[in-house]
Amino acid sequence: MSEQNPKEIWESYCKEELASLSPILEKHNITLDEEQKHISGERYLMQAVTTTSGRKLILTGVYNGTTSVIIKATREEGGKKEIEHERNCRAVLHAIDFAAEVFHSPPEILYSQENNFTIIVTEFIDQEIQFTDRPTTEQFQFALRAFKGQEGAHATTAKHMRVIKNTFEARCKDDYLTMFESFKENISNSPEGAGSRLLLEKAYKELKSQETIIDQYTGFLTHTDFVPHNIRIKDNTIYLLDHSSLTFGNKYEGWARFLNFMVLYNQELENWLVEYVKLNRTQEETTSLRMMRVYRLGEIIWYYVRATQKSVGDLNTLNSARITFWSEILRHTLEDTPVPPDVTENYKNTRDSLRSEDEKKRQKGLH
Amino acid sequence: MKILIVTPLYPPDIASHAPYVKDLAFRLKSSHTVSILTYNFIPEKIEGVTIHTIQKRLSTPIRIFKFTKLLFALAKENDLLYIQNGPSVELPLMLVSLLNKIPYFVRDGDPQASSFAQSHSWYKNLHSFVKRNAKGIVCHTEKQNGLFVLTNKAEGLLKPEIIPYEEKPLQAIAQYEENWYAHLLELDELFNTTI
Repeated sequence: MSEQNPKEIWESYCKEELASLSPILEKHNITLDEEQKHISGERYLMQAVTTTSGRKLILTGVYNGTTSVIIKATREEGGKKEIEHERNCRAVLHAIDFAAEVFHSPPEILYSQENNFTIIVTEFIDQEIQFTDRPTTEQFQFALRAFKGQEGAHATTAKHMRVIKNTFEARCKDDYLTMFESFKENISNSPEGAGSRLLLEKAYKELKSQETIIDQYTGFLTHTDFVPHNIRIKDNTIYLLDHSSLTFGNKYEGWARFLNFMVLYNQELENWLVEYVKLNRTQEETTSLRMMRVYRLGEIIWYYVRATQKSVGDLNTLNSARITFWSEILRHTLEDTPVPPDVTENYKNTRDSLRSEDEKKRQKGLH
Repeated sequence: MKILIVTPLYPPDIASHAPYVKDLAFRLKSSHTVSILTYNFIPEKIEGVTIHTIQKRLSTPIRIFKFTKLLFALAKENDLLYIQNGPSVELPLMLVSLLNKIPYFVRDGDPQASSFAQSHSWYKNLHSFVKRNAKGIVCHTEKQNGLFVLTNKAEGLLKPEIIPYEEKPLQAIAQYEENWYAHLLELDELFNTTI
């Protein structure tokens, strides 16, 4: 039953949790906004596909009638662990003594465990302008600054590893290869992804042949979900969100996520960042970046295979189109050839015609 | 001349003296036989330069011991050592220099190590010992009495950044090449007059 209708299950979960949570938040002078876009649209599917441990609500509200806040709350054990993990990551991140840069996070307003809920409330950083609305040159400068900031934390010694080991995941080449192999097997064995089998075999071979280079650039702090909606910029300060996505791994893992995202949102920025690495860094680093993009593309295709299995109607059709599109991007990345603009444009048209109104609303202002 | 560059950091490490060492080795190799000894995991290669590494993730006493042992062996095979400052290199150097009188030069190029010396007396003493016994000091920030000092700005030896949408900084690149040329000439003079 739950496999058949994840949307209804999610909506009923949200309704029930909101009814219990609202009075608790009110006690702390926090009022929820009427419209909650972080739990609408395709969020139910993201939860169904990505949340292996537990569900949680991400809400917006106002504290003391003046301060906009982000609220994360859950009664599920897995969700509680996620919230605690993220909080711990944030604390350790600020305490790392081998980081060259200072990291900024939204101030925490409340952390509470009551009525079986774990709740964390942080200040909403109100930026002057959305990241993707900035001129591309500014987007480039901010993205590069954020990447350099992350790269400034390089865990190399046994002492460094002791500092991070209980908080952050540390990934090496074996982890990337094992994970990609599981994406490859799962995708190839599913009816939705079987068509990508040969491509994924080729990608795995390429990753395997470059494993030393992948390992060479591990040990760096990297935000594995580094996309515009996880960074906020205010007064020239960059705030990182979603600290649970911080890991110590290949320094281009975060770059790869960002560049794959920019294939859709700003190809000029994507090209500039790739060019920047080619012009300023070693050949090994350029290869490392390309390998991380391959790895992340395997991950995204696997995500949409699962999303296709859990969706119906237009959304199912859209998820199938996403598998085809990202497989095409993977092919170009492997061949190191530019993605023809019509491939992206055609996909965007398909996406826009199949997206629900709720999802369009959720996407608005997200990046 | 056979030169061994000894450094705590080397790319992919990111501190500014890591790329300096790589650049230096690359430029010296055309007129000298150059090798590098460093703490690293998988160092970036330079064709024609042998890089000896001690794994960084070993516990501190073990890696210092292994580094000292390897430095002792390599020191015998080289005409001079070029040392990048830092306690993890200077401690092995002090031990080796007590047994082997090979000439060495110290580059005071890591400001973090220098400030560490200010707050840790044991390292301050170690650093003083190492400098006292050096054939020359390479310092980019200040003159130091009684020692052969080079005053090229360290920043001038870092490759200018190229931004894809901006005009290539040709002038800065030319200046950077010029700085390196001057730096190599000074080093050459320093090595030849003191060895």
